[in-house]
Order: sequence, then structure tokens, then C-alpha cells
Amino acid sequence: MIDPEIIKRCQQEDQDAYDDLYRAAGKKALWTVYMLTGKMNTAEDIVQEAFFQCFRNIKKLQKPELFPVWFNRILLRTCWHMVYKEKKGSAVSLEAESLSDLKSDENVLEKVESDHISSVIREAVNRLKPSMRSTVVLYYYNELTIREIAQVMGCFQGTVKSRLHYAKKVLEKELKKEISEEYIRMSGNPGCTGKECTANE
Amino acid sequence: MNKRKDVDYLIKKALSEGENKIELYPCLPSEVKSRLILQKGREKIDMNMIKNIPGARVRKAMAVCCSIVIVLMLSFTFIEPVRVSGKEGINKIKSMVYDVIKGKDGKYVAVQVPYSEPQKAGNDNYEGVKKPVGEDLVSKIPEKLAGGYTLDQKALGSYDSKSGSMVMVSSDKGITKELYDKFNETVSTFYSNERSQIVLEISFMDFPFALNSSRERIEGDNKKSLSFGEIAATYAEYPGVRYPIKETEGLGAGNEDRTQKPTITILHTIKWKQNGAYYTVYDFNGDLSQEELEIAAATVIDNMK
Repeated sequence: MIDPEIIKRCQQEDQDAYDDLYRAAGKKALWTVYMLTGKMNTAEDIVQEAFFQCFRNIKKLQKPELFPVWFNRILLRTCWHMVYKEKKGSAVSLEAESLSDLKSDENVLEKVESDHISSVIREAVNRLKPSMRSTVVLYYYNELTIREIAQVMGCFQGTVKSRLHYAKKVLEKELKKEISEEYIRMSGNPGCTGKECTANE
Repeated sequence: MNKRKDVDYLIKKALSEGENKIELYPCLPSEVKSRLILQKGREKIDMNMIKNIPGARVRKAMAVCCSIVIVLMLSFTFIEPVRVSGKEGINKIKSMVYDVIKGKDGKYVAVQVPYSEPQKAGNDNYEGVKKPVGEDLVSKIPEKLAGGYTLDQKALGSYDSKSGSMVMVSSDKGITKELYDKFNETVSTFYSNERSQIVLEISFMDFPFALNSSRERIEGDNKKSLSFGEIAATYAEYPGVRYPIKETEGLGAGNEDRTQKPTITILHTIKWKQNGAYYTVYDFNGDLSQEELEIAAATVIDNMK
């Protein structure tokens, strides 16, 4: 959660507040975009552009508590725009291409790859359609509510629910292929991910 | 439920892994700040350039004055002619109607043509005489036709010389005196069995069958001469043109809406002259053979003797 004070300071063009906001929201933004595009270089460019747009327009944000929705909206639109420009709309596979682009971060990726279940899930997420992938990332990683995702993506809440429902079915199917149901039960932490676990209930 | 939560947890875990291992680009805020400063500077310069153009304010005022003058001139010069020509264009579009013509391939097609007012005189496009179909004939109209056809309804009609077309009326009460007094120049009788309908038309006026096509006189196709004893008849096929009906109030309610595209079916007809009157039988839905119509026509000829 971003401290609303930082937002207010940014709106007053406090240069230090820009740094604070970047430190608070930058990493999540970078990882979000990386999961959507699969390229760290592209993700960095997108995050830079998103922060530029954010700082430029932050005075227009009337309620600081709405910053996550507002910023993710900028981030996603910038992401779609730049990926479209770069690849004529085709989304890039998260791990297939990203591995070669991330030579400097090999240690990180090795660690990430070490978890087989996570790898299966990430591969399945990569294969989802871009709109569905964005929904899954915003819901499970950014922990936005269905309503907030609808605002970010500019669609109905029902659309978000159905995307989540479908995506989860796909992911469950992929998991079943790889591991037994007992393993899922035993390895799981019973905690729910977010504020609204109602997508398929 | 637990399984679902487990899957949720696994997805969240899979997507979060690695976040803490990536490094933020440290120079990004300073680069963004530089871009912001540059952008602001550029905007300021642009605004100053606009403000500092010599005489910009005077030019702005002059531009406004000139625009007003031009708009007024255009109003006086063009608006009336534009309005008139626009009105003409709208009327032209509104007055387009559908007509049926025979295409080069021999098939009948509906085409849009400009509507032309019916000619006031000299358009009596029929042979024979304009006189009422007498009650003596009406009373002889058969109740049944060979082939299991029974009488459904009778309709009366009169020729409207203004429009050059036949006005047809019918009533649930059958042929009433009120209707017969006003409309008595044709009698149309509708017969039906389980699968089809036949229409018998009687008049002392001989009209070309395809009255619904006003663009050209349709001569009919596959014409054949037939004989029923001493009576000579002609078999021919015509396009049956049916426009959507535009409901109106009063007698003869329901006019054809010729601005709508009609449906075209090929109707089979047999026409003959008997005791001075012209008789036509045709299949209402275009689904009967020549032989079936001949049987029906023979029944009528026998009854009307």
C-alpha cells in the first residue's frame, strides 16, 4: 500500500517524493510488466514511460488512495501500447524468450525455475491470452479486487470474473497434468490470495 | 473449497517468486525527472513563442472578424440554394419505389426507380368494357373447385383511373350491398385446400396480369393455347409481385408499400373469355402445375355456363 502522503507530496512536485514513490511502487510495476511481456529490457522501458506519465499527470489524481488502480491503468496501457509498437500486438512468451534476455539475472531465474510447480503455473500463464494473463497477474500478484481490475482494464466486472474463472480452470488443468491432486492438497497453504476469492465460487 | 484455495495460493506463489530478486534501475527517477523538466521547458517555450509573435493578438482579433464575415456571406449566398437542393434530394430519395423488371437472364428482379405520378388520362390499359360484374354471374361462382378446393373469401374491386390500378376490398361478412355498390367491376374468389390456394378473377375488363409491375408491360412466359370445349384459353406464367402492406384506415385498408422491396414468385395462370366476361384462375402461391390449374378452370367454366 502506497502512503497517501507520498502521493500528495508528488502532487506538490516534491522531487524526493518522486524517488519515494518509485522505490515503493517501482519493483512491483517492473515485475508486473515483466510477467506480461517476458522481456526485462522492454519492461524497464515500459516502467520508465509509465512513471513519466504518472509524474506528469499525478496532479489529476483526486483521491490518493486510488493510486494503485490509477497507476496500474497507466502501466497496462503503456505496456499494451509499447508491446504493440514493438511486436505489432503479439505478446511474447514469458519464459521462453525472457530467459535469453535475462543473462545478467541468471541466478534469479535458476532459483525461480527450481520450483517445478511454479514453473508449470508460469508456463501456463504465459500461454493465456494477453487480456486473461493481465487479469491473472493483477488479481494474484498485484492483489487488486475484481472491481479494481475492471477499472484498470476498462471492462465489466463480469468480464473480469469470467476471465479469472477460465484462467483458473486452465491453470488447474495444467497442474493436474503435472502433479497429483494429493500433492496439491498437501503442498498448499490454505490461505486465500486476495480480498475477493469469488471468481469461481 | 480447500483445493481452490490451494490452487490460488500456488498461482500467487508462482507469480510472486522472483520479485525480490530483481533490481530496480537506480537512475530511472532521475531520468524521468530530466524528461519532465525538458517537457515542461518545451511547453513553456511553445507558449512563449505563441505569446511573443508580433501582433498575434491583433491577428487573432482580425481572424475572428474575418471568420464572422465569411460565415455571414456564406449564409446569404448559399444557404437558400443548399436548402432547396437538399429538400429536392430528400424528396427524390423518399420517392424511390421498387418495380419489377425482367432481367437479361429471363428472371424477374426488383429494381428501385423514381416514383412517377399516375397519368390523369389516357392510361386505361385494358381491353373490354368497364361495367359491373352482375349478380347473375356472382351467384354462379362455384363454392368448390375440383381438387378439393373450397371457397374461402370473395373480394370486390373497382378500377381507379387516377392511379391506373384496381382497388380491392373484402369483408368478413362477405359481399355486402354497401361494398358491392362501391366496388363491383371485378370479383375475386379465393379457394383453398390443405396445401394450396387458387384465385378466380372475373371482370369485363381485360387487364395485363402483372399489374404490380408499372415499369413495363409483362407479356408472360411459357404461353400456351388451351381449349375447354368451345372455349379457348391461354396458359401463361407471370411474376407475382407482393409488396409489404402499409396499414391504413377505411375501406380497402392496407396499401402496398412500394418503397419496400417486394417478394417475387412465378404464378401460373389460365385466362379465358366466357359470355363477354374475362376469367383468370391462378395459383396464389405459385405452387401448382398447369394440369392442376386446368382441372380447376374446367370446374369454373362448367359452372359459369
